[in-house]
Amino acid sequence: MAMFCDHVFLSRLQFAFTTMFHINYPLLSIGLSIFLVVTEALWLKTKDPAYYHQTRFWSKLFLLNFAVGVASGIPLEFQFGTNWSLFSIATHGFFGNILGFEGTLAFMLEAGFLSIMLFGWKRVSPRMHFFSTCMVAFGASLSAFWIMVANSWMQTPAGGSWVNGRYIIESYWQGIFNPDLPWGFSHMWVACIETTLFVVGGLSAWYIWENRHADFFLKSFKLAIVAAIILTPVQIWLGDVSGRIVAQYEPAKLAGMEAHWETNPPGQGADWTLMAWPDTANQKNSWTFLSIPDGLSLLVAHSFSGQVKGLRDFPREDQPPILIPYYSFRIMIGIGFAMFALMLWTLWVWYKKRLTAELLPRQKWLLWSWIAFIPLSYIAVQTGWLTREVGRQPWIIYGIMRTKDGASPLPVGAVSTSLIFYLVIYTVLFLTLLFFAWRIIKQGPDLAASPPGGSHDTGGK
Amino acid sequence: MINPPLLANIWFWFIGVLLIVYVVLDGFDLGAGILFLATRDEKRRTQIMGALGYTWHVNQTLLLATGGLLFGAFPVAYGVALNALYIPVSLLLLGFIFRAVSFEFVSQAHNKTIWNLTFGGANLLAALAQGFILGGVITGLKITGGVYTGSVWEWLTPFTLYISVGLACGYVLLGAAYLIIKTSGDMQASCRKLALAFSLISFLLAAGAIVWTWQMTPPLIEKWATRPFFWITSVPAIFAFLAFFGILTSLRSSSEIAPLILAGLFFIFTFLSLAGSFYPYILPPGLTIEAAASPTITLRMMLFVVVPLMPIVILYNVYTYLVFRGKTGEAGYGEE
Repeated sequence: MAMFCDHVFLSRLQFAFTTMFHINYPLLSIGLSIFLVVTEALWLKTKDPAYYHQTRFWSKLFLLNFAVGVASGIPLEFQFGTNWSLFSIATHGFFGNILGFEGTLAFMLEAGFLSIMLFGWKRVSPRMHFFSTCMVAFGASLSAFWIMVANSWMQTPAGGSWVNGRYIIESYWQGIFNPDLPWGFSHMWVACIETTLFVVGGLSAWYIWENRHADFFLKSFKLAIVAAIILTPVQIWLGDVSGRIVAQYEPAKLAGMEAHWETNPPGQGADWTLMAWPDTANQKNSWTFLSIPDGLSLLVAHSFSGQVKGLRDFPREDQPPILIPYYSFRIMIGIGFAMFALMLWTLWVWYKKRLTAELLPRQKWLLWSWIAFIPLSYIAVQTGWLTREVGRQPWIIYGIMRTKDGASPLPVGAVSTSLIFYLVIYTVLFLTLLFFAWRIIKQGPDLAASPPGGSHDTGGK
Repeated sequence: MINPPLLANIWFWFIGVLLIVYVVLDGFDLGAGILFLATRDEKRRTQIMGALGYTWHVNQTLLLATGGLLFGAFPVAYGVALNALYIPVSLLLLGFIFRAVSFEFVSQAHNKTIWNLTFGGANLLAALAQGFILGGVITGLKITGGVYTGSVWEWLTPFTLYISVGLACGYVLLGAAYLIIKTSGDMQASCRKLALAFSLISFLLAAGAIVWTWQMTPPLIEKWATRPFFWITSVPAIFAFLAFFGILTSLRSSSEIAPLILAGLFFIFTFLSLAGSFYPYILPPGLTIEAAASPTITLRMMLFVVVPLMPIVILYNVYTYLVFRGKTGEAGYGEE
């Protein structure tokens, strides 16, 4: 395979692999920290020890998840220097700066308060502890914001101009709040919370299925349901707006993820296909399956005959790969709608008053579906990112800098060795994480622990 | 002396300060982690992990923040250095990855042997890799037209190996000094002995490194002897010398905190004279601070955003140290 002898391809593969591996952990850290703010607030408000135990139990998984997240995240920032030095140098005064903000302003905040949140229960007052939990959650979300600023700027660069092979920033405000940012960030941030809700809900469902602490886990299950009922439709809407932003600012990406070759003539709609097989050599689809007439026009322009630019309007060297964006996009929306359907079903069961510790363990299909949505929610995020990043190719900064021009001139041997190392190490880490997570889950919550914060227990050691 | 523009100069020294704060703080983490590898007693190992459990990720984050700011303020230096030092940087990250997960995995595992070994090894690897990076930068990177043009193996020389071992020994000094604060009794006494031994070794190695660097780059000798460079080379070196005697004295006194502070000062002054030696170059011999810097608008923007927030960052980090002050006792990682 010739592409495995190409250092640019190997650097891309390495970045893709390390990022796809890493993102799984921040997803849960961002969402779970917010979930922990909620359970701790409920504990402080209601004084119900069950919420204290909820907080402690999910904190254990949070810590394990955070450790692998930190471990796998460090290489990402440094890879911009090691493998993408030409991109880093060319983007000069903006991109690195944004990552610098992420480190100093956001991640420091999260890391700074993490120790108190996880180990400081008996060392600080409950209020101070709650404040620390809030700061961890705030830091984690702020971190996501800055990372999304950096990434959305690569999709819809703004705020400066390209002069002599370097990006000169003129307006920070425009660079940060580039067209994609509001939607890209919201879509991702909601995805973090949504994934967490399905992890918390799915694990709670598993305990209820096993009839272990069914009362206890019904609490977290209901919290997850209430939040997910609101967020699943919101996410579909955010996805729809994001798609239209793509159509407006990255038309080649949209055409690629829809395998849409020919621009539809005025007055005629473009079809949406469920499945297709692109034939790049002949610039058409070999076959399509299940076309919805005018569907694409409706999606993109919200009208039956809205014009959607086709791939043939772009020179071949500017066309993105099609297969990956096309199918990963469909998997993502499929899961998104399935989540919404699962919420309707759960709502129905709740309405029928079967959502009780006695009756719920008998709803095997419902519980099983919730458990199945733990991996599915991760897959939705991964496929979404595949669409976003592969669809942007051949550009590293859309329309401005090509990916191949951003890579470090490294020997193939060095990149392939580091890539193999990452593959092996990350796989070992993932399996070890699963092993220990499974152990924590099997152990279950410690319901005997007495909450801190009596009259005497403030501050001190 | 060519003066870099004021903003670039501010950023150079600001990032320099952050880097040295990182080196001292994470230095004691890594050093204690290396001692962990040499400790046979499981109880003592548990104590070391307990003492590091709430500091390592904050300190590691500091490197991430410093790296991010370097990326922002001096993208050329960031790109070139990481590209040139691809292998030692990868080894450093490898060390960090395994250190990060080991805390959690050691405390979860029933059979601790593998993860104990992984944890100690990861700390040693990270410390050595940092030494190779430092050695590589001192040796000089081949840069033509803002791009690295050397091979991937140029960081591996007798000199870089020497610096690498020297830095690891310095970290062990810091680690032992930190453990003096966190432990008591027999363990504290052996940490004092270790700190003494490693302060002597570090001092000799640091002195040797200066001579070796002079020999590799003869113009440096003149730089050390003449003003104004004298103030940022020889003077800090003298202070480092004084700090070394301070360590020796403090180790014989009953003070628990003085050895760490003095060992930290020893590091700070050594690094200052090193940075001073190459100033105004950010990556000797070819890349100046000015040539590596981002445009003025970026540097100004970063200054406005980052600097006002620094006191807050310092405040909550100091607060965390205060919350967790005192001896670790028998409690291990994550235990209350």
